[in-house]
Amino acid sequence: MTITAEPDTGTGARRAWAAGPWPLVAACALQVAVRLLPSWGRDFPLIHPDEPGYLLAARWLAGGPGTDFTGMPFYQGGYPLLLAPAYWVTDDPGRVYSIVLVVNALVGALLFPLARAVLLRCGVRPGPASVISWVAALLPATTLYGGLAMSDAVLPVIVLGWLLAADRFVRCGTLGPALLASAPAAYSVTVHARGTIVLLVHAVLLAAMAARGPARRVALIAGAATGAACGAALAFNAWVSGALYPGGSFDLGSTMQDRLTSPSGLLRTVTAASGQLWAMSTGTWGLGAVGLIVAVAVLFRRSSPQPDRIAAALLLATTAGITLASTAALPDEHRVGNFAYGRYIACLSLVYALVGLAALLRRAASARLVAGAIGLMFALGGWLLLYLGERIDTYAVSFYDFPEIGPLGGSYLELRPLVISASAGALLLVLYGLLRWGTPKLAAALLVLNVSLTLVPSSVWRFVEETMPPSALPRTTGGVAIERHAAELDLVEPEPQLVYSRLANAVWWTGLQQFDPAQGPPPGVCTVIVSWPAGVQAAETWPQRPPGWRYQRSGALGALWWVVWYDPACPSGAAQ
Amino acid sequence: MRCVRGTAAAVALAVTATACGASATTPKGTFTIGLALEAGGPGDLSYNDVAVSGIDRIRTTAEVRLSQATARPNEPEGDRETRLRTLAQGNRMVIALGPAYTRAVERTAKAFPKVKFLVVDPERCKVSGANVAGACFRTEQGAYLAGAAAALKTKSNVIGFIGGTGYPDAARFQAGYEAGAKATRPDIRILPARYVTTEKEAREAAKQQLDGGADIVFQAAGRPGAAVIAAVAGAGRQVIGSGADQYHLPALASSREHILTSALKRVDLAVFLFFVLSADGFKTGTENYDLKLDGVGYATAGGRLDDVAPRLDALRLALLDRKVKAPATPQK
Repeated sequence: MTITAEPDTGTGARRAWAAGPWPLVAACALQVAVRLLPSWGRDFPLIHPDEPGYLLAARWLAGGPGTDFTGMPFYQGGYPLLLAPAYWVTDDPGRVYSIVLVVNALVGALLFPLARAVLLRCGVRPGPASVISWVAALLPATTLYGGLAMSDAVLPVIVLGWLLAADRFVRCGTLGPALLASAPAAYSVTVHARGTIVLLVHAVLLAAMAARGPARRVALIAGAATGAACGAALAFNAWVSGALYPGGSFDLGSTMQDRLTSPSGLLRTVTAASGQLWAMSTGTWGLGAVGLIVAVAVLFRRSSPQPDRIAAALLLATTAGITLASTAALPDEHRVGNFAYGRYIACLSLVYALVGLAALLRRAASARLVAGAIGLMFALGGWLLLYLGERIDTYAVSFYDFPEIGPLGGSYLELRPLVISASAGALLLVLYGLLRWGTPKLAAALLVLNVSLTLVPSSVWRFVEETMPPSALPRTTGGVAIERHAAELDLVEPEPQLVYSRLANAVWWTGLQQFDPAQGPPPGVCTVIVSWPAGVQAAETWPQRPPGWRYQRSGALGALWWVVWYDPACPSGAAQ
Repeated sequence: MRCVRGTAAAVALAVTATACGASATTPKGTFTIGLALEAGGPGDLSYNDVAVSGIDRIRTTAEVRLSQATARPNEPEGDRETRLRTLAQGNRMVIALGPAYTRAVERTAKAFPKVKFLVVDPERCKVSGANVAGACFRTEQGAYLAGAAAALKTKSNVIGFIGGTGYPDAARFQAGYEAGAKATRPDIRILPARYVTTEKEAREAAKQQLDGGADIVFQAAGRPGAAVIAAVAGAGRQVIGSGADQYHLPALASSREHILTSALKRVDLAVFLFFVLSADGFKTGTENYDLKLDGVGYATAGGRLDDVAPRLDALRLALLDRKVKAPATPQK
């Protein structure tokens, strides 16, 4: 197994630029178009409360009405910073959402040049690197989440950019790459809790470089810059949190502490972390498993060049940190998806797939390595099956839990680890076999796989939401108040979260207030939202309503219902 | 990325049906639905009213023209079939409440192959016919949690149960309630269950339970249940409702402060999902509405269980994990 990466000499890149920037621009534009395809025409969030969490932060950052998300998980402000300009263009939540998807696609398209840089770094020739990186950048792990207003749309770009810059810094020891790596590392702290892992790994790298080697001074300067940027990032987080989560956000720390201090909690954490690796491996058609084995081999083989070993260490440390921390922090939601969740590691999926592809393209991947990758997927999937036992049938399944790998198992309603492993293994063998007939065949197969397996889950998601779209509010003027009980946002009773976040996003002209239905509507309020308990007629949901108020039945997703009461004397406002 | 358990499961159910040929779009237009109620009829604040509120929920997505008819107590089988045939003649869907309708629906469905039928609580949880679906409820699971709540909140250590002779699943409610209470507090005293048919009997049974020292009484009596609630609340004790979230019912507003919780039986959810699945396709056979599907559960309205919520949530998870099993028949 000869898998040592060769440093990019830069000649390939220079040759590519000789034709001018237009091929690159055209390729990126095409990336944008393909990325927009799965979500084309959709102008409303699918994932609640996550998407409204980010969208409302963006609205508030743009100077619009905020909201009170006390008790919900903290959706940080770094990604909303990118979305805020959309709210300067329009107030309409639908139009804003469409712009957000374009922003995501533009950012996501950067994965193509970054992926190309990774392949060149791994010693792939510029021609194949260009074609394969364009196709690989469309992996469902990046495109699916790019169709949502979530930080996962931009995290792959941030993490990949950081890894490349950090690797450059390790190899060159100059200040430019060091600062270039520090910037995304610090920014990632404002984007998601996973960014903290990136920052910690980056800090360890800088500390190691400062402790020994010729780049000591550069590392110290970059460390100071990172520290300053990190301070600003934390201050920014605190500012956003204070404004939108005045009573505090959901505390993930206590769950994490419980998980990491008990044997059963540790076993669960390690299992769910390995489940994430399994989801990443199978969701990249086995390429990620090849990449994972290659990364581990490079790290532990003494003959590997030092920069390669450091790059592998950065990748693996970030992976370990993200998988372990994210699974340890997840509360027990009795969901199968929590044990095989590909989203948290999706920011690294492309990296592993690229490393695996590089091994294939450089003919460094022997049949033994491919067999090892298939074996790894079966081993991880088998362990998952063994650990979950009966729970694989009794725990709940959500359509958003394993979008990439659901089609491989033939079902979004149950997780089939062995079937999925077998399907991914078969796809890996096909890709490996196709390589004999040249890179174009491999690229074509990968393109078909990536695009089709992005379209399948995205169309299922769309159907799920369309089973019952929430009705538009009858009035778009005056104050809007939601029953206090329906606004108590916590994870024990998540239903209010799902109702509240929908309404907070739909009510674009004002911030949602809370009220006690027994007291009547607050002054200036034209619309109130009350819960719709089991067995109660919509007309009976607010006995203390003022005379003349009318009601509108509302619901979403087939099992979430609420009732909107409104004052017909208020002007109806502009239709949205 | 979070999704409420029951919602996810309910949507999963809808999409399962889609794979079987049901509509992939939201039902639109006007739908005619016939509803054959159980003997308690509309206004029972329980079984029948929950079903009617399911029709109300359908109205969030489509226009509905509803025809409804109510059974008479102890009526012959032929009367049920006649009622169903009348409803089937003018409607695209017919929903029948209670096990007594099972055979009548199966026979009527053969004569009206284009009409979709739902039997709520079919006999032995089985239905036959290409255009017949059934909705069964694991009511004992929600009642188990209500029983645990009673055990955690009782001060006298004595609790009671009053069921309705004509109320489907009353025995399941009793079984779950008693098992949940015993499991939570083994030394608890559960008074012998009483079954009633009329409001007068309900008041007498309630008095007997209260005189026996019960400070919490579970009622699963159907229409006479309101009399139980009024009697228990009038004595300053606490009552557990069933079927609907009875704390929120305007008709019971005067007793609200004494409603500890309600063991929910989401017939409304079953009615709604039957509509979604039948609008353009169909899913034959029976569906089990349990804790996982949020088809049963317990209500938290009023906040009286806030202090014991962690205990109850742990029990709920144990039921979901099958570490604990709620019996469907009362233990001797």
